[in-house]
Amino acid sequence: MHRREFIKKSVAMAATAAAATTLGSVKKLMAAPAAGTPALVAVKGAAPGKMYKSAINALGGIKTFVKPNQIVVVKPNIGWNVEPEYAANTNPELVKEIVKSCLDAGAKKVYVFDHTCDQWQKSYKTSGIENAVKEAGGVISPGNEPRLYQAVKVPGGKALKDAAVHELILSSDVFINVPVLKSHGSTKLTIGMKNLMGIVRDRGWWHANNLHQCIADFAAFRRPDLTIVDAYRVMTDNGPRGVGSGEDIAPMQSLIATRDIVAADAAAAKIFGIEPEEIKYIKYAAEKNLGAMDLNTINIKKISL
Amino acid sequence: MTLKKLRVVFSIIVLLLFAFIFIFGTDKTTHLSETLTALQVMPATLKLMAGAGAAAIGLGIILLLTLLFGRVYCSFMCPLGTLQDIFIFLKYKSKRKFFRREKNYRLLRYAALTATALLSGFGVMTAAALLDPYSNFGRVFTSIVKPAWVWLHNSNAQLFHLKPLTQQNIPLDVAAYSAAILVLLGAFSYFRGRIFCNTLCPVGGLLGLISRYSFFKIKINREKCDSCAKCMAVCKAGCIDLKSGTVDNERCVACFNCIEACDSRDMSFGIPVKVTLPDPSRRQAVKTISMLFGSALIYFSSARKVFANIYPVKKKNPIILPPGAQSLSNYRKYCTGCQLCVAYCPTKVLKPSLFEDGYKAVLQPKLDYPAYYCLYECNTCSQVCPTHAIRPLRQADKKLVKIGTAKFIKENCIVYEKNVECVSCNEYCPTKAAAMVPYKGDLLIPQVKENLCIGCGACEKACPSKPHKAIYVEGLKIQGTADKPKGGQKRKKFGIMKEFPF
Repeated sequence: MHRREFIKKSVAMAATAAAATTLGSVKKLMAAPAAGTPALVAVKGAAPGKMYKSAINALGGIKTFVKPNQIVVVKPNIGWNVEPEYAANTNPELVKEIVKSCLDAGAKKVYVFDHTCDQWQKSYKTSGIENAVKEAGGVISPGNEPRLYQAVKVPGGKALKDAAVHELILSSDVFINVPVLKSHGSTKLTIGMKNLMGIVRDRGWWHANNLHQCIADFAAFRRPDLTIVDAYRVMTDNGPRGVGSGEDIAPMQSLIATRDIVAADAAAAKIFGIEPEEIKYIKYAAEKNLGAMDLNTINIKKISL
Repeated sequence: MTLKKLRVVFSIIVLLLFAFIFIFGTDKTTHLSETLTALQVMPATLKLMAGAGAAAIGLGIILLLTLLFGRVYCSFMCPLGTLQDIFIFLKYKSKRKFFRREKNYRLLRYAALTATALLSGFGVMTAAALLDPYSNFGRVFTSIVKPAWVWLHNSNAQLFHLKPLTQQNIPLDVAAYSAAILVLLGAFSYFRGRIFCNTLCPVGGLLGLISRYSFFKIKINREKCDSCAKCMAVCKAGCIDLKSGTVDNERCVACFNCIEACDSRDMSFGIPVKVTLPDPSRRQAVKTISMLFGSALIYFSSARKVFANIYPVKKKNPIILPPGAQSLSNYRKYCTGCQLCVAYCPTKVLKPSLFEDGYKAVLQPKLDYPAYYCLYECNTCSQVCPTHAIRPLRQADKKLVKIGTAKFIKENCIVYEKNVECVSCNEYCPTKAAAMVPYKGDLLIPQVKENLCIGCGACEKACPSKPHKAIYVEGLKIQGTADKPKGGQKRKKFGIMKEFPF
């Protein structure tokens, strides 16, 4: 990314953030674009690609999110050197379908990356995501090199005031967050907001400085235009990496799609059988008015295939 | 095709294959590495000593070829030999393009061979590690050529949309040592031809002994020879004596340059009439050996970090061996430090050290925690090790090999210090040996389940405590087996979801 472009985008983002605070509520900004369109779509009972298609149609089609010639960045979870059937990473079939639909909508380029935990070249390959992205015509991009990150301020952060964010997040027009629903040792669950730890450089600092608050703070920085939660196979225990066996994997065949990252995490937590309030980062994010934790307040469309 | 041309083409192919595995080797090319290293004398010998009967095949092929044709191994199969031939080729292209006759240096040669054999027999790899031609080649490639390639690749990666590569993890002293070896070897081969092969190289010494009795030898037809000395000028082994009209077959590396250079084709490769052996020169021997060893001792001692903190991590056993090494004594006995595992290691957690762990461990790689950790699913080093210093492991078995044990220092832990959640170690732990147990309120704190811990070092890398880690790995002198992690405890709660719970 060029410096000028970066400055422009930073200013634009800062302005958006400022506008958001003056308006008082972020909720108003992310109201559904057309009347009657649901705020959240929950799908179950089919293959990941098929569930994505019906979810995105219910949200008004991918064209309401991606305009021709825009640059799209897709951020799945590619944290671990683990095969797709063990569900430590986002389902590659889902990622493939998302990349393909963005390109069909006229996107100029679709980038996919993650700041992986295990060695990144291995993780990209073993997760099946590198291959899926290439087959779909997207660009799989590195996420582990420090030089790819740029320092930013986090507006209104309580624990996290600044971070270094991957340049693709700063330079892309559309940001699609594609987490996988998993059990997690420290946060009980890892879903959408937790997945954003893969777009910053030093997440060790978050662990050392009140992890839940950091996750909630960072959700205010760059809201994904779309969050799609993969709950096709769900790691019910021993997450986030799993212990290399299929014993913990439950075939839940579900998917959640929404513009509201907090609602996405709340709905996914419920599917997992945990109340959203029990997950501290969801609670903190809701307290910061970053989205709807109470699912009764939003318009949800449920689809069974 | 003349014999020389055959030699040139063959040796270049072998050199390129070796360069390929050291620079581009991945878990897909382990079979190629196995085949290539099976035909290298030192690794095959050690593998045989380690009890791998199959290693006798490669070794047998080489020894049989030597008995038939002399030291063809040195000119056809040895990657370090061909590397020297590059410098020798430059010499041929220069103005002073002739080599002189060399003294025999028999004493030095036998001393190097005996020392290597005896020390290796007693399980001390120092001489073998320093002198083995294949391992020297490997070190030059892993610590100089590959890092240079990775640097070049990565600095142009963005321009050509290439995926960046992970840089090698080579300490400065090892890189400097390998560079010194390359410079010395280059200089010596440029000025004195294959002098290393006929003095310090234990493989050259051994094959020389056999080739004294080889079936085919280079011979000079003295009746036709007009003593033009063209053969002597191109003889990089310096083993042709025109006065007596003999070729010292013990030192001849079977490069066939002399046959090509002979005007009247009075030299031939055939069954010999007579063999003579000139006298050794002691003074020359001492001179050469002291020069080589003197340069080898260039040593930059790595700085030891001193912490002011009250809870520094003091490892009782910081040496962590790759899974499959079995025990410190086995590893020390068979590793010649060729660095093939270092070149292959995808995470670059394997790192060579020079004199850090004593002379017995010279150039033997170990796991560099917490710079990185040993990847749970990876067994590549065990697949490529040419000497059985790291025994082959199947992936499923490797996941249970215990190379160390994690230790927890509560006072350094963020949960204890700040009363907030962290759980990085548990997140990275592939076996959940870094378990979380209730602490204060709903806070959890790590507790190591030693029976599950394989010592991979993921927890140590992940731990964000600064400056000292709250969890670290102690190495094991004898590797063990960990219990298989159990999953599925909570799985049964998750039935088929009839309706969404919202």
